[in-house]
Amino acid sequence: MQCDDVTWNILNKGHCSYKVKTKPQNFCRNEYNLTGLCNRASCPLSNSQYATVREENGVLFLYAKVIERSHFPRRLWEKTKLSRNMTKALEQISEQLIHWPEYIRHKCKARLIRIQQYLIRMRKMELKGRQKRLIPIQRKIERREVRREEKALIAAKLDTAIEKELLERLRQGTYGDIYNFPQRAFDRIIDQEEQEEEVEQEEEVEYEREDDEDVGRKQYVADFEESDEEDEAMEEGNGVHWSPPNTSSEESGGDDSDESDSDEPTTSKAVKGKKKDAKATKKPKRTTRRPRVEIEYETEPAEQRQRMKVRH
Amino acid sequence: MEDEGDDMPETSQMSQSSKGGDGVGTAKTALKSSRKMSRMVKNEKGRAMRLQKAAAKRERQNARQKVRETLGEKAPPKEVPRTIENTREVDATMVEPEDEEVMHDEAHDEMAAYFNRETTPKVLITMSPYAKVMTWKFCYELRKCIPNSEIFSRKGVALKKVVKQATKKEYTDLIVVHEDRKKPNGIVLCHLPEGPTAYFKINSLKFSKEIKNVGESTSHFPEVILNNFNTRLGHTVARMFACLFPHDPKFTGRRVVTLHNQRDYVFFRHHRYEFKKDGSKAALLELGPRFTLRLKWLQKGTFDTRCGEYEWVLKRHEMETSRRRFFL
Repeated sequence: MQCDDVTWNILNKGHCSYKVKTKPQNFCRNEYNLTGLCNRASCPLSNSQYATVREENGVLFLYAKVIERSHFPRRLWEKTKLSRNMTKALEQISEQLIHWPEYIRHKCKARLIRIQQYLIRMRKMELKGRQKRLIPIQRKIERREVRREEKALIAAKLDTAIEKELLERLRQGTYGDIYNFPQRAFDRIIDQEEQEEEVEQEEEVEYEREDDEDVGRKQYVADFEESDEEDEAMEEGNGVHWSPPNTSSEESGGDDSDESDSDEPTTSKAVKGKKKDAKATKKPKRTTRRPRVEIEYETEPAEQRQRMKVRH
Repeated sequence: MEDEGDDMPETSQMSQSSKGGDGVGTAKTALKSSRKMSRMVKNEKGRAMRLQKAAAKRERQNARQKVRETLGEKAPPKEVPRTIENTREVDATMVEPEDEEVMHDEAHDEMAAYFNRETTPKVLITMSPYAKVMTWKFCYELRKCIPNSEIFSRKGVALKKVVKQATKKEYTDLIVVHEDRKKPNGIVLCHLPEGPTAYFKINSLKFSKEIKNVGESTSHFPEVILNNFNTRLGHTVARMFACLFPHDPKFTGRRVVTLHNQRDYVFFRHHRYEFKKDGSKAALLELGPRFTLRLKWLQKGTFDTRCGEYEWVLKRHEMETSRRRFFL
């Protein structure tokens, strides 16, 4: 009835619209093709005895070509549903294609297994969650960001900003007694003569804490370029820098704390007033007062204590 | 400098002309050499002009300086140069220093627990699954820099699970270093007990080994400097950063960690400082990594990109239209 060889000859040598030629393989785009390659044995058009396994929405069917119906193209392929169980499906194929050539039977089973495998993988991927989303890199944006970052770096003047901030904190007395600078000593002496107040340790500690808050307050006074926010929050964070007795200080410390709060008592006052919400327990202080912390340094404790006593 | 700049075009031009001029007739070479001459003349003229301009500018500056000196107080005020920070677009969310509403909000937000000293920071650093060397290096550096932090290598665990487990183990912060093409390119910073989550893009990163004259870090608790976080958004972000570090910096360690915001780029620096000249100057020795971050989005609640509530997202087309508009 059908001359397969003639058909194959014509299709192969001539034009087959399902054929895709690539180096080194030829592929067949026919949807009923068993292997996807353009071969004599795989061509669905030039084999009168042919079968495939296809899946629709996850359901597997065995399509067998009934060549007697070749003039009814719609009824050419006979569809049998295969069971979900793989072993059973394989048996079904053997059963349906009994007495068929080895090649087709073997390839059908192989195709069945492959389809099952990719269906399983699809299900796993669905359950697993989102895959990594690939976000393309936009070159223009990247270049622009790099350039803007460079300019921002120059405008930031990081080193000077950090230095300024640190010096501010030093001036404000957040570091307390660690640093002993002669210039400060001079200031200290002056202040000392001016005020004589008994400062208890608690107060001093509070003072320091409050001083920290001051540090943030800079925005009030300093230049617009650098407004240190993060004041309350951060300063509270960096609050107490002293648990008085313990710090192992390598530096044989200054006897006195650094310098009194200084240039900004007035402005700070207003500011601090507000600040006190969180620390309601603290005594309201705020005048030019010098923090005095009794710290016993490992190096020369006796001396310091003595000096402290003298002051009081 | 100008010499080098001028030399380049000349030499290239000469080489070109020499290539062409060899086998060709004399007319062409004459033409080329005349062009060469005119170009050299132009370069020299250009240089002369530039020098003149610079000299004129110097003169004007000196004149102004003299005027200022002589007049003293009555001199016309120094002109302020126009900078991008000066001409920044007015942002409705800029925080005034004594804004009660802001202070009230901050006293009750998720990070208030840290600031009220109820919790001490405990940071968990993790990374994309199966991360590469660079990311691990970066994580080691972060671990050195942030006290009380630990690295956890994620082998395919979903991030939400990580968050849950970390909360159970009482971590206060989670840092996830995101990787792309074998290099770290983003940081997810999540404050743990249902705190906000922020995603930053790492724009540039330099390890400590690559920095010149780098110093060795110590394990003292560092001080934190947070500069220039002016808006409400900036405040939140700054507080998140502050939550990473423990409360009581050891001033004797003289270590300072700076996060400086400039035009929406947050620069991270880590220094050791020393006061010199009787406390009028501070010398800085750089330690540790140096990187820049840019905030991409901020989300209320812990990491949940699908159904979380975003407080702020950088939408390029809407937000990056103006060069004077910044959000942090």
